[in-house]
Amino acid sequence: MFTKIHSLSLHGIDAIPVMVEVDVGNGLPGINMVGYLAAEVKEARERVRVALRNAGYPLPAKKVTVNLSPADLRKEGTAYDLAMAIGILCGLEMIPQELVSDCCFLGELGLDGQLRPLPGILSCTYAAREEGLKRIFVPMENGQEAAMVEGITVYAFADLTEVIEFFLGTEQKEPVEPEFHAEPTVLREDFADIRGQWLGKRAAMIAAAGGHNLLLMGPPGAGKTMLARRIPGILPALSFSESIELTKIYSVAGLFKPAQGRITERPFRSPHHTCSPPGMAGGGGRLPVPGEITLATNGVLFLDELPEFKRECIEVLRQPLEEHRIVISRLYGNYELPASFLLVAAMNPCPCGYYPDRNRCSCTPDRIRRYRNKISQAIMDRIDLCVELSAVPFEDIRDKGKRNTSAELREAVAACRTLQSKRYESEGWLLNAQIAASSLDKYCVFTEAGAQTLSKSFLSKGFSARLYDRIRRLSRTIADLDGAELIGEEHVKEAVMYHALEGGFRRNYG
Amino acid sequence: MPWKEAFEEIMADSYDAWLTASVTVLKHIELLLKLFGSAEGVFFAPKDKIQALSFLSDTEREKLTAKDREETRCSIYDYICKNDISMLKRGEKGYPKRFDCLQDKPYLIFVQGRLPGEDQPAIAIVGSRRASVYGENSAAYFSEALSKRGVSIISGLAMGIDGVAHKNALGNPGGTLGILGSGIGNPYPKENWQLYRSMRELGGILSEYGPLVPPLKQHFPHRNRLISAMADGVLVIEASEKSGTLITVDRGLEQGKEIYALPGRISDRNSYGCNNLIKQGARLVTEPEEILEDLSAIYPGFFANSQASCQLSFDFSNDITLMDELSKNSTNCDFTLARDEKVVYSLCRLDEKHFDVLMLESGLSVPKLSAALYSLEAKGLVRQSIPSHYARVRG
Repeated sequence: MFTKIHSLSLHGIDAIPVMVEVDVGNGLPGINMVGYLAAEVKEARERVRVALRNAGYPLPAKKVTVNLSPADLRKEGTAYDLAMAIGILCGLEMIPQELVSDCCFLGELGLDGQLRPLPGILSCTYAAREEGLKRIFVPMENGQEAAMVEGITVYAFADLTEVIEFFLGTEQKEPVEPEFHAEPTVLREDFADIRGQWLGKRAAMIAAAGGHNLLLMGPPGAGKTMLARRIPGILPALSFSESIELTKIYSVAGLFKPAQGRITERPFRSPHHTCSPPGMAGGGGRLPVPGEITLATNGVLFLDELPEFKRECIEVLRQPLEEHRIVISRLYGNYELPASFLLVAAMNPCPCGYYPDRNRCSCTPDRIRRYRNKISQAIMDRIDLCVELSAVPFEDIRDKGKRNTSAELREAVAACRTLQSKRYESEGWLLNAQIAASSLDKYCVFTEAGAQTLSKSFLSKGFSARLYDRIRRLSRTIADLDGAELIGEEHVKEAVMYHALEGGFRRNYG
Repeated sequence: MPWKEAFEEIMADSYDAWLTASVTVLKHIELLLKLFGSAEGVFFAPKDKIQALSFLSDTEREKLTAKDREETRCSIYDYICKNDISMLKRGEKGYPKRFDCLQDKPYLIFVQGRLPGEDQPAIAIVGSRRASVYGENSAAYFSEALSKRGVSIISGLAMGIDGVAHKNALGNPGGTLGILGSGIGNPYPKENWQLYRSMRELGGILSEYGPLVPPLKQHFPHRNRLISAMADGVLVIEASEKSGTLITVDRGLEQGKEIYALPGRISDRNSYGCNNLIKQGARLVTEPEEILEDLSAIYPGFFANSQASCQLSFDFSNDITLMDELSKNSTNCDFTLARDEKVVYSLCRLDEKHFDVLMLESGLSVPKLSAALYSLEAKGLVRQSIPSHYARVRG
């Protein structure tokens, strides 16, 4: 008899429906599987056969044909095991077809019939709900994760026997109720901990407010990492949809712990500089695993020791920095992953780290130049703010004034972001850093003095047209932080200062 | 027959150029000339005779006996003609008289652009290749002030102090001369290529090595004797304990030149050499005027015609009044300094200060301080030599 069971296949961070079609009929006994299957899907044949027998349902001498449709989509992973087992039982008319028509099955089977957890359950549950399915059956460990989706009933089982008995009506099972342990986020790292570094703090705040990428330069111990780690804390709280997007990503990557509920904290990803290009961008042989840039979505991607990263590893950032997504092409298809992050990079000014302190730094000008040239112009073009931190030790006595806490800064940043999202309501972006070049004239309006200052510095410093646009975006954010409608002289002056590296970055040292 | 003489002269020149491009050690050139009479003699000398000369290095022997030396000679001479390089031979007309003080005058020198005049004062400005901001700013100040008064600035076209000294003298009445440790057309370091090109147009380049000779490290100490010989005094801006600059100073002393040194803080490694020189009797200078006074004793009348000095003596204790005076008197730029700018300017020093330090000292907010610094930078009073670090520009 022919039967159809709903299941799902992960594609990027979303899932697409897959129909498991099973036909049981006369012929040479055995299980035949078709539908563009990867090796681990084909192996399901043995897992399902043995698991069914060990659960007390040995296969009769029938020919079983399994098709996973759409048949031109590459199927990977072990999520179809449970759907196949249920499909075979329906085909044998042991479970009535009507009972499973609004159900979706996900789960890997062990030979003893045990159900094993899978990554990406959250995305799958969303997709099932979108498909109009009423019930989803998942392994026990994934129950809480699936239960986070409202509007679909979630059943979680430990092994195959339980699932079968549930449908036979011999055992009752209650749907999983979501348990949230959402703890209020406590900021362990506060801006108030940082003494001095006013320039760095100011730059961090502007970066957070307008979504501008930031480069911190400075000698070892200047506090680059300390500053960067505190940036997620001054970004406004995640919206519900951002939080779900993030949870999906972490679920697909297998990094999600359901006990914590959906992710409500902005991520801070700090990959080591030995990271490989696929590790950064996402990839891997089969299903693309989200890379660091995707895991940093809606948060901060911190690249410490930027010049030490492999060149290709930094170059892969180009597309995501422009488009806030990454498309990974693999043999079996293209996968699009979100990658909308704030880039914060840190580096030493020279290989030894102490330039321009000539008493400590003994790097030759050529070495400094080569060190800095490891970062391509293309990446520098995408960094809006550059500041150099000093390693001047500030004693308590010298920085007596009240230091702003992260909560205070966060409020200012949130206010500034609300202003921006209102302004760009009808546009396809949210932040100043993302203003399209064609709309710059519309949104970046200067006072007369401001326009004069801008054109003067444009001429005297020899800015490129691209840099001119970036300064306009940056001064827009500075004016927004100031609550100014028009961009004034002082805003432009400050914005220009953050671009001093432009000339200095590749200058002749010595 | 005049054309025949001219032809012979050209031939002789090309043999000379070939010799200096093949052998870069002056002593070896002298010995070869003594043995074979002339460069042409060396060129046509039997191979086994040259092979037997034990003082030559292997590469030199190889170059002198190379099968394609005829082609090398032609291409070198071709390069000289095409690039407008003049060759000056020892004892001939035009050979700098200043080299008379040398025991080991170069056999042949190659010049692009122009040399300082025989009756023009010249000062060598030398210093560390890894200069501090203080050093760079001081070098710029001295070089500009001196060259504006007609003094030629001599240096070695290296990174750091040398480069800054040349750059700030370009286009001024005094002009500038760079003396290379390699052949013309192959300057070192490559980073100064832009400077090298403008030096050819607006200043001068001199080398005792044949065109395109690569920069070898043994050339540079040897080259330094020419820098000091070409100048009337040597001004050392910054030098560490074992700096190559000190070689120039030693050669200068042998040649009887005045040594000037810029003092520095005792804790700065880069000022160690200078402070030591002062201890040993070098003249401590803080103002270009002091050097000009000495020079006017050697060249009486030279400075009489040039315009009165635009003396800008910087008294650090009295900055704000100075700025006020500037804003009243100055005609060449819009010196209306706001209060913030005055405060910030008075806090800036010749060596760089970080933005945060200025902020702490001035008590201004980030936007206010950045606006003040922007204005000071636009007026040319302050320079952001390294990102987020600010220093005064002098002069």
